[in-house]
Amino acid sequence: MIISAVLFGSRQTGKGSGDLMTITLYNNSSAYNTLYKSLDKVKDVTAEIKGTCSVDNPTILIDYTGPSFNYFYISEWERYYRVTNRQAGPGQTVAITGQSDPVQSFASGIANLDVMIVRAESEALRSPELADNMIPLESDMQIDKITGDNVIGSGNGMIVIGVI
Amino acid sequence: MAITEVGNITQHSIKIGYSDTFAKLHNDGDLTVDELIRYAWCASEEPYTNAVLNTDINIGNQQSAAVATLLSYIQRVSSQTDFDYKFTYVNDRLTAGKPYSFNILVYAESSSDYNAFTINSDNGTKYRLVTSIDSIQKIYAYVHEVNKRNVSYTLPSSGTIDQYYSDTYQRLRSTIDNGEIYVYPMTVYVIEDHFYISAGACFSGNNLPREGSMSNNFYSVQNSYVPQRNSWLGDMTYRCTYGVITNYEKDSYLLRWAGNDIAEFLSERNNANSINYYQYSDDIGLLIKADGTISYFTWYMFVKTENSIYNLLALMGLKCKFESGEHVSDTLIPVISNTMVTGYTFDPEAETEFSDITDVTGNNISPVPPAPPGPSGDDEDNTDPVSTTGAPFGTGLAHYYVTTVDSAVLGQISEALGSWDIGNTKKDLYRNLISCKILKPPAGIPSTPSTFEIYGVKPQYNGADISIPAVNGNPDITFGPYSISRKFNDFRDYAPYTRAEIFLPYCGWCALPSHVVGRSVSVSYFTDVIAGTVKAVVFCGENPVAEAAGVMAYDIPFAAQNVGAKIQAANTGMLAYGKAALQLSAGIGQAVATKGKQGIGSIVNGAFGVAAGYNQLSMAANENYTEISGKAGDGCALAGIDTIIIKIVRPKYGAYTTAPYVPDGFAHTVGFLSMKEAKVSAASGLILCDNVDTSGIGKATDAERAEIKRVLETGLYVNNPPE
Repeated sequence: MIISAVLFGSRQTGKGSGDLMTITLYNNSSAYNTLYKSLDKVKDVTAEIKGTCSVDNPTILIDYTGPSFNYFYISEWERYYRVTNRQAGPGQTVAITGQSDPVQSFASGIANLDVMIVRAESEALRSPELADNMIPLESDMQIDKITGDNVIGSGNGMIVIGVI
Repeated sequence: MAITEVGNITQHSIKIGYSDTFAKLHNDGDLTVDELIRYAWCASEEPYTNAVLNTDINIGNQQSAAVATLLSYIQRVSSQTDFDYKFTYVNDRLTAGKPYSFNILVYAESSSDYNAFTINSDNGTKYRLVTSIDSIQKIYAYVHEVNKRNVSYTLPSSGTIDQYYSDTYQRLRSTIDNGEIYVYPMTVYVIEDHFYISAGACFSGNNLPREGSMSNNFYSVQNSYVPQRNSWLGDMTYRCTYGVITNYEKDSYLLRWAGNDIAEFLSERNNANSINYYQYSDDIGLLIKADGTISYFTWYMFVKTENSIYNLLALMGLKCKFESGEHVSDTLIPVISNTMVTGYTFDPEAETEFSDITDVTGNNISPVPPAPPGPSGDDEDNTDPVSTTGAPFGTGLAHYYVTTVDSAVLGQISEALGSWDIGNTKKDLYRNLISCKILKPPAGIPSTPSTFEIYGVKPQYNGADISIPAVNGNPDITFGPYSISRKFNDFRDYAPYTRAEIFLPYCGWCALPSHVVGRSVSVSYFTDVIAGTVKAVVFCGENPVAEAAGVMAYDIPFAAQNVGAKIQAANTGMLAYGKAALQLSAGIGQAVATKGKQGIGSIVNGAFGVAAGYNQLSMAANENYTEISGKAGDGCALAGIDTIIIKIVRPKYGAYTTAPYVPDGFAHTVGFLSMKEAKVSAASGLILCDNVDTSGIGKATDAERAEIKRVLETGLYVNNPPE
């Protein structure tokens, strides 16, 4: 999806190239491959699309001073983005480039997927009786012993005499 | 006391606690940690914490040595008042003919019960009481039952029970204020060689525990235990033995204790007519409930067998650490892993010493089972099951006799045969003497007294018949079951990662199939007394899983023909053989006992003697003699280890001490093998999926779908959705 945009510093209202829209800035403390990331909201700001960009990798302009952030959400596009680049412009203008995070953007859809889980962290999903070659095994062995009953005994035994 | 479980096989996750009493012993240096474990009990959340309430302890389950050796409980069934039923209740849980050794508590609940207080099972003769409490004598162990709670209290060795009031009164009051109205403490303690019982009942009310007819229940130990039995209201402490216990024969002690002491104890209570209907009894002691009407007495009493006094103390002491169903001990032994109980045995006669419990670390199992000499020389060889087809049974003999190894008996027979002068009878007698062996059977051969007889003739010695027991049939003897515990609770418990082998005396080592891990096996020996052969069959449940054949006898070859002068020579040879065989047998016994060079030397010397005897027999024979009996037995089979040993060889896991025995972070970073179909939302934490179909995600672009697929297939951490 390509959207045309205005030049740096020009602002227009309305949607599309140069449109203003509200985005939400976050700090994300979760790894990228995390479903339902841990996001701490920083601020809602007004943003403007810079030039032509893709939904997957947009660059937008915001007037912003405040705490740092590393993640944002564009509600217009229903997508979350990781901040991959920040460039300072005139005044308080900042150009931020984001990389789409479909794992977070489509978290509910992913959560509802039926999948064949090959490996899992949780014990509930573990199949312990399946041989797992990822578990390290030492070649050395440990011996456990169970001592049972004395069968032979320590006596002198018996003499058996058979006759017809 | 026999111990039936190896601790480090199973006990990796059950947290245990222990009592003040045993903690003190430990702090004083009288008990090591491992010894302390022996007297530990599971934490309250563990399934066996309340085992005393409603079940016996399944020794075949995966429990710690401490638990497994604690107590087996016979719980009263309200609909069943027959006292014997309680024994049956336990016996039903034991496989017939298999020796067990664990403790049994018996509760009686009526005046008639103690009259029926006998051990009348097949195993009854195995029951006994401990001989002394040397190591922990003068310990005052308490259990106080507050309805289903246990009140913590420790009586100092020189103190008085009066402290009970100040220390626990408020607690009792609090309990009562919560609507739990009756408190029935009972104390069992040991002073030197005597067991004592102190019991009392307290009733609800503001003046508890002094209210009602049960007032003044708690007297000082020093003043109460003898001889004030007749004032039981004032002195509930009761001395339960007459004199020093010197032995624990059932008849001489157990019955006396139950039949006399308790009878008096009960009588006193009966006269008091104050103790009412019991509510329940956890395990030890007395719990009585009076729900408004006091007209009838009921109580529990207990009998301790085997080493249960130790366990009793442990249990009581530990239970004092439980309050309101919660474990309040501030000291927990985290695991029992790396601890192994050695010296365990199924022999109910065996006493377990403190030293039986030893530490092991990593791969160092102590003691390492010695490699058996004989047909299975080391740990690795001869592990394949030895199959036998057909049974060598039914040799058609009319009689066979058995006696202990005693050359005098052989001499009597030999001399009787030699002096029997009825024409050709002597020849016939020898001809029909077809087998003679030194036998070391798996267990005692059942026999009945009989008179030696050959072909209808009763040879006499010194004018009298020769008395010698006759064997009745070929006995089948079963040992076990032996629980082969899992360690990892995953695929590593099975082949090819874990393998189990069993050493079968007489036969050698046998590999066991993988599926026995996590189950129990038993060993049945099928014997042929005449052939001197034995086949051991290993059963897992009812299914045979391995078998091996061996010998249990040394043949004594002899011949019969031309009686005359040869007979005397044969007699000489037979006697020499018998003496030599005796030497050999003694040597074997010594070897078994010592497992050293000296024992082996005795075997060698004995073997030489056998050879000499055999030579004499051979010299006595000529070409007219027909050797009926076969080869000399394979004596090596009897010269090795005399006990069944099960060896479980597992992957070493020393670096990972707790379940699931994987490196730290393994589950979070690598994950366990799953291969289960589920929704992503069913997972928690890391998942890796295979060939994900992302068509259910409608609004994503192709690139985004590809990325989602990639992440799911390379590793996705699933968190809970935000609320």
